Amino acid sequence: MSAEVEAPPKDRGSGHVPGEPGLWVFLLGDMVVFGIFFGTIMVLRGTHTEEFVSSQETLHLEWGVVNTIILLTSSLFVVIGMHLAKERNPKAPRFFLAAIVCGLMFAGVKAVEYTSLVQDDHTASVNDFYTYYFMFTGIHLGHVVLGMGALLAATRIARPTSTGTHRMAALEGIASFWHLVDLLWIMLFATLYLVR
Amino acid sequence: MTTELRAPSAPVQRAMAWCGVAFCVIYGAGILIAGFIPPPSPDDNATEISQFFADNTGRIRTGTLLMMLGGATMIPFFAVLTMQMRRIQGRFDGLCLAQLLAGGIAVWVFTLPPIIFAVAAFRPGQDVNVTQALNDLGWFLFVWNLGTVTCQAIVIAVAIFSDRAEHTGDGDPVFPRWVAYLNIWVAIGFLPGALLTYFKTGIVAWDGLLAFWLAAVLFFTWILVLFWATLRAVNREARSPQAHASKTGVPA
Amino acid sequence: MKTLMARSATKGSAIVWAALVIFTVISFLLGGEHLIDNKTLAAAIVVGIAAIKIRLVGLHFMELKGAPVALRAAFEGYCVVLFVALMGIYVFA
Repeated sequence: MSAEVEAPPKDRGSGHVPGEPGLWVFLLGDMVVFGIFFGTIMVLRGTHTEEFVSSQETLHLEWGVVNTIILLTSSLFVVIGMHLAKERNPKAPRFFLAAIVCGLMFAGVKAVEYTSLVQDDHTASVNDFYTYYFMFTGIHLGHVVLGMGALLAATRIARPTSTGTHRMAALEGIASFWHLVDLLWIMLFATLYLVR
Repeated sequence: MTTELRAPSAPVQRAMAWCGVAFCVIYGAGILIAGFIPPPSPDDNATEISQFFADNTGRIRTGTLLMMLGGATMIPFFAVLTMQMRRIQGRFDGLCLAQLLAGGIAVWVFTLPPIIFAVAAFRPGQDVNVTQALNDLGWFLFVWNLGTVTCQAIVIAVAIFSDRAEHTGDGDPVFPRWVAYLNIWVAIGFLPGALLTYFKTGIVAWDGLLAFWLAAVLFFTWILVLFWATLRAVNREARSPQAHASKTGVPA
Repeated sequence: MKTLMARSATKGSAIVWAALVIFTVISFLLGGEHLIDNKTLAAAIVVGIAAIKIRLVGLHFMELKGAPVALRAAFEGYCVVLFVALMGIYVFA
C-alpha cells in the first residue's frame, strides 16, 4: 500500500477517520448524487401527484420493507465482523460472508419485483415514476453488486492470518461502503415507496 | 532502463498542466457564447431547432470556434498527466498507455461536437430536418461520450491506487489517494447519461439534470482537480531532483 | 478482555439494529397503511425517520461518532440538509 495510508489508523486526539480520508470524498460525493435523486423524486411527487401515487401503489411495498430489513441485517453482520476482525478472531470472515448472502437475497427480491412490474406492463417507459424507479433502484443495485465484490475481498482480508499494515483500514473502507449502500436504500425506499 | 525516460523541465510541465485550466476557460466560454446553456430540448421539433440555429448563427460560429480550439489545449494537459502517472511505476506501463489513448480520444470527443454544430449553423436556409439531424448528432457526441471518459477516470483511479511511492524519490505517492476516489465518483456520476437515447424529456434527456447538468459539474470539477494534482506532482518532482535521480536508477 | 469489549460493542450495535428495524416498521405502517390523515405530517414523519435512520447508520455502524469533527459535521449536516430540502420540495413543489 502507498505511503499516504502508511500510518495505521489511530486516534489522533481529533478522532479516527474510518478507512482513509480520501474514501470520504467518494462516499460523501455519492451521497450528494443520491441526494439529487431523492430531490428529483420529490419534485415529481409534487408536480405529478396523481400519477406518482397511482404508480407507487403498484410497487410491492412489503418486499421493499423486507429488503430494507435485509440490508439493515447485513450491516449488523458487517459491524460484528469488524469487531471480530479487530481481535483477529477466526470467525470474522463468516460474518462478511453472511452479509454477502444478505446482498444476494436483496438482489433476488429486487429481481422478483422487477419481473413482476414488467409482467404487469409497468415498465420504465410508462411514465416518469417508473423511469425513476428503475433507474435509481438500478443504480443502487449496481452499488450492491460492487459492495458484494468488496465484501468478498473482506472475507480474505479479515482472516486472522492476513498481514499488511492497512488490514483494518481496508476493512473499514469496505465496511463503510457497505453501510453507504444500506443508508442510500433507506431514503430511496422512503421516497419511492412511502411518501405520498 | 528508466533513466532514459527523462522528464522535461519543470517549467514546460507546469505550462502543460495550466493548459487544463485554459481548456476549462476557453471551452466553457465557447459553450456559453454559442448559447448552449441551457441546451435546446431534444423534444423541440425540426422547425424550432432550425430557428435556433438561424437566429444564433453568429454566436454559434464564434462559440464553436472557441470550443474547437479549446479542445486542443487538452493535448499538452493529458500528455503531462501521463508523464506524471509514469512516475508511479517508475516506467511507462499499461495504465499510462491507456491514459494516453483515452486522452487522445478525449480530445476528439471535445472537438467533434463543435464541428458538427458549426456545420449545422453553416447554411441557415437549409432543410429543417437536416439541421435537426445535425443538432441531434452534435448533442449525442457532446453528452453521450461517457464511455471513453468513464474509462479514463477509472484508469487514472487504478493507477493512483497502485502507487507504492517507490519511485517518487520523496517517499510520497505522486497523486493523493483522494484524487483516485474522486475519479471513481466521477465515473459513477457520468453513468446515468448513458440512458439519454431513451428519453426526449426528463433528467436523463441530453438537457436533463443528470445527463447534462450533473455531468457538466462533475466533468469540470474532474479536470480542475486533475490539473491541481498534476501541477502539485510536477512541483514536488522539481523540488527533489537528487532523490529523483538516485531513485530512477533502480530497475523498475 | 478484548473479547468482552467486542461483545459489548456487538451488543450495542444489535440495539441500534433493533431500533432501525422498529423505525422501518413504523414508517411502513405510516406510509403503507395511512394511519395519519394529514399527508404533509405523514411525509415529514416518513422522511424524518429515514433521516434519523441514516444518521444512526452513520454514527454507529460507520463509526462516525468517533470521527474528526469536520467529517462528523459533514455527515450530520447532510442528514439535516437532506430532510429540510426534501420537505421543502414536498411543501412547495
